[in-house]
Amino acid sequence: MDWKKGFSYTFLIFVGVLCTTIPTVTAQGDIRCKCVCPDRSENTTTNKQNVYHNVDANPEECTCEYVVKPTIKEIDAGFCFRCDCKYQRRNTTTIKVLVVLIIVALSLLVIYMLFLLLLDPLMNRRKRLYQQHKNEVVNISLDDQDEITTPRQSRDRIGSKTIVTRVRDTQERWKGTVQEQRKNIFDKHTMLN
Amino acid sequence: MAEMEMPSISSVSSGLDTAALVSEDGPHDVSTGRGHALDSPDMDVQAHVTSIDGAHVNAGRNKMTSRHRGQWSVRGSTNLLDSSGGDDLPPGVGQYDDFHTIDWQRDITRDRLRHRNIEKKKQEGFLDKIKGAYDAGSGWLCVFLVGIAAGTFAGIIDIGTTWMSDLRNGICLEEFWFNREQCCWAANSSTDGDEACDRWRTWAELFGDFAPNYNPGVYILTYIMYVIWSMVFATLAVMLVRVFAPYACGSGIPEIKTILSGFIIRGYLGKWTLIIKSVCMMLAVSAGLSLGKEGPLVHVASCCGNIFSYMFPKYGKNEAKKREILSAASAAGVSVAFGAPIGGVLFSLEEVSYYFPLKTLWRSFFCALVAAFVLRSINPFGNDHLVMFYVEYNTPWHIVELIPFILIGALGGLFGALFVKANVWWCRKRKTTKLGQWPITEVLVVTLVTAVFAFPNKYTRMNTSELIRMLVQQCGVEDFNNDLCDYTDQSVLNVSDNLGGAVAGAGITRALWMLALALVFKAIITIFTFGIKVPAGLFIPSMAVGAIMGRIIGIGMEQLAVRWRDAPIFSDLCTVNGQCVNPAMYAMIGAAAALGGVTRMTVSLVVIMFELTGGLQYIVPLMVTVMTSKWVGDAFIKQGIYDAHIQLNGYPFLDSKLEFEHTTIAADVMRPRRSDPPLSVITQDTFTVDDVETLLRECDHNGFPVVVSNESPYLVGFVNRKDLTLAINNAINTQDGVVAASVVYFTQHYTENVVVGGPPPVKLRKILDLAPITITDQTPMETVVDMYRKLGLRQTLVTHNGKLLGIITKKDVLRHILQLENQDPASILFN
Repeated sequence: MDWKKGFSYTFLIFVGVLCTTIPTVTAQGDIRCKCVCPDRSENTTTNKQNVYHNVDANPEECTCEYVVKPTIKEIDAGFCFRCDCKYQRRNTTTIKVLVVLIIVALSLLVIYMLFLLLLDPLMNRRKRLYQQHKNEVVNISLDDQDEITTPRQSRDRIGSKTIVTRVRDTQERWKGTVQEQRKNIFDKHTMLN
Repeated sequence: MAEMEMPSISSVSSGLDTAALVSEDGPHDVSTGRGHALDSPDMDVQAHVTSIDGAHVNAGRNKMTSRHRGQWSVRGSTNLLDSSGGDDLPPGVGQYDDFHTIDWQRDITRDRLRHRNIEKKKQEGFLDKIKGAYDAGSGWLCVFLVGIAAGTFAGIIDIGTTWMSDLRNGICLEEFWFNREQCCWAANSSTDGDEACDRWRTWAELFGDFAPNYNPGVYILTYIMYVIWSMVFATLAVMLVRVFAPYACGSGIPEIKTILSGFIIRGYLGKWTLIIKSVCMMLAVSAGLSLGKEGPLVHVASCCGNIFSYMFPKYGKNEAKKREILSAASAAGVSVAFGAPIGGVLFSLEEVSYYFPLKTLWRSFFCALVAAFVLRSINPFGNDHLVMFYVEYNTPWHIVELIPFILIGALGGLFGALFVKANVWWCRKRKTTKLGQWPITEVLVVTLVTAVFAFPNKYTRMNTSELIRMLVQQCGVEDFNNDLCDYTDQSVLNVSDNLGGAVAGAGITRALWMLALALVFKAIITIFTFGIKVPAGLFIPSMAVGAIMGRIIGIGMEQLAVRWRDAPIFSDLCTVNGQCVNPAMYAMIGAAAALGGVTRMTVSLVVIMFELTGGLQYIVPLMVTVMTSKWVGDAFIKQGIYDAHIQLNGYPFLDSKLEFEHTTIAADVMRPRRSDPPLSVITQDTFTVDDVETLLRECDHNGFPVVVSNESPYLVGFVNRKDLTLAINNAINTQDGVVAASVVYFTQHYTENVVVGGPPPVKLRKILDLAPITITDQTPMETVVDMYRKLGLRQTLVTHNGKLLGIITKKDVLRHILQLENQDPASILFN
């Protein structure tokens, strides 16, 4: 039943979303009040600027008065007018998780790509000799080039075989579609020019 | 009574899949009291019929054969209920092949029928009621999930991109997952250069022990590392695209436009495309190529839309309905790309979508909202805004400034037109010449050239988004060392009095030169970048070009105003506290102008720009600029970049914006032509299975009209090739005794010609479309084109004096239009 599948998927996704949103409680070092002030030396030729940070400020306390003044001993009256203070937040956990996720995904893809480019042609060469022989027999007995029979065929076959072959079948079918896409784009130039 | 209803309902539900296919029979189904008179003509049923309609009492009293009952009550229900063995339709009927156009009318009717079945079942019980409610809400649920997914992907991509881009410069040693800004999150510093901190280590610092800061060795090492990293990222991106998902390259918007107009590209919105596009988008942007991730994000969101729609059979199995979800998803894509939810909805409406009913508008609105919310909670830029370039200034503008705005608009339009022409020219070269055989080399060369030329100029060296952010931001306290803010009079007293309104110093002159070089470089390299085989968006580079141009003009304007402060024309411009003209605002307007020139968007672009920058009071300047830009652009080349690419690739896209102005009639376009062999038709009750198979083998048409007989070619209906193939094969495989000589029936009465003891007939009325759209041969093509646009037809049948004469397909219409425009009609991609 498709709708049941839909329900369960939806539920899973809800749980997933909940799990990712719960740890967004800001940890230490996730907030800052950043104040940028011109250098106090009043020496306009050097054009220096000072950046002051306060990591445990409230949004209301993110002003020059709270953040910069305590760190400076002598201060002239107009100093704080020239400071620009911003309250910022981040989530280190999210960043960490996502960047690690990206690295993992990228490495997996690269490894799989290398496998497909280097090892697979070697392994396939042996298999192809065997399959060529087998396909001829199949072709004669079926005598049908319509696409409809092919999925039926493979479905029957899948039912009786193990998960490994099923995975391999899916992979082969996927390779076929990618090959087709590659032909459209890189050889025939019919799309995405 | 309730007991009586049960068998009828169960037979309906057993034919649920088939029900969806007999689109033409829908209306009759309801008008005759749900057809439960069909089951057994008992007294109860008769009474029921009587109570509904007294006129039928007599008919109900007669003992009728099942066939007659079918005729008597519901024409269509026979198809559903009269199911003798093997009449369950095989899976896949009603689906489309790759590179086919969909039949909107048929799909929408199918959905209506499906919906009616669910409504009917609702009265059955509590569970069915829940199912019904679930079905009704599944559209909203689906776009909700799409919004969440789009927001999440955008968050991942944003964080990943900033991290990877900074990797070219150095690394945060202790916490490698931080980008440069995050790495120096809480470092108090007193600096005079870039915001440096100890935790962030550049590659030069890691590899060499160069003490002084401006050592040539440091510069060269940094340069080399920059180029190497760029090449590594670009190589990875192009290889991943080539090996895993070739469809992931390019911007994706032209293709999504085509798909939404009713075209099937299998795998274009699949899982692999989604993953590879997301990953390679980060790599391509980090490689420093002159491209953006905003356009591809629309593609990513559409992939999410497609994938989630398969969870809901209502959308997954119906291509026309699926396009409603895809429209909403593309809105979510722009929503997260720019942090502009409303702009996203309008973008979907103005640029991408083809069929956009109000229901879709609300779904898009909701989807864009959810996506923006999710992205905001991920907070990828750490500034509590959805976008990198959020501006906070609020300086007023004056009527006099409309003149430079119009100038910027005109320049933006000019740039857009030149860009479109040059880019299409280059892409055509790629398509037709040997250049296209070297896609990987091309990417590497473009990357190398970009990296080598970009590094020396600090405005091109930085990430393009950061460049735009810098350009659209006003000079402030933070910009003491920014050349762009090097005014001679630095005596600002208050943060709210921003810098500016003063005579330019040497730094600004230097910055202007470098910006001008950056402008030329960006404009040229983008022409060669858009279209290479990596995910590549166009929004950011064209906005960068526009922003640079705008900033330059803005500074020029400012200096004029400062110099002639008292001239009557400028006297309004300068405020009391010294502020004259805000060059940053000009940059923002320039960005809109260039983007408008390239894409020819209007309403959505203005909304995106003010949502992007938060500059609500600049709507009128933005409108003026965008309109000028569109006018100037249209004067040179009619199409925006996406339409130009659709045409270049020959996608079967019937533009609803263009008008058909020729006086041809249907007979001129119709197939078969005079010299051609006659139209292949199927007769309703004389074709054998063998005849059909021969026809399928010899003709590659996508559908066949069914007529009464060869002698009297009156139209009965239309049958799709795919459905016919599936149904015939299914009959051969599952129905006993079907041989080549079995007669194929498209009629309701099938007993007449069957020889007793002969092969059993194959009944295919179910797959027959009984209500094909027909026109006469004298119908003007203007009307025909309008019908194709507004009804989303796949084919129409042409009749003369009521007899079937020929057929016009969407392909014929597109070819005809191209022919009238003196273009090559063979270029259309079509099966």
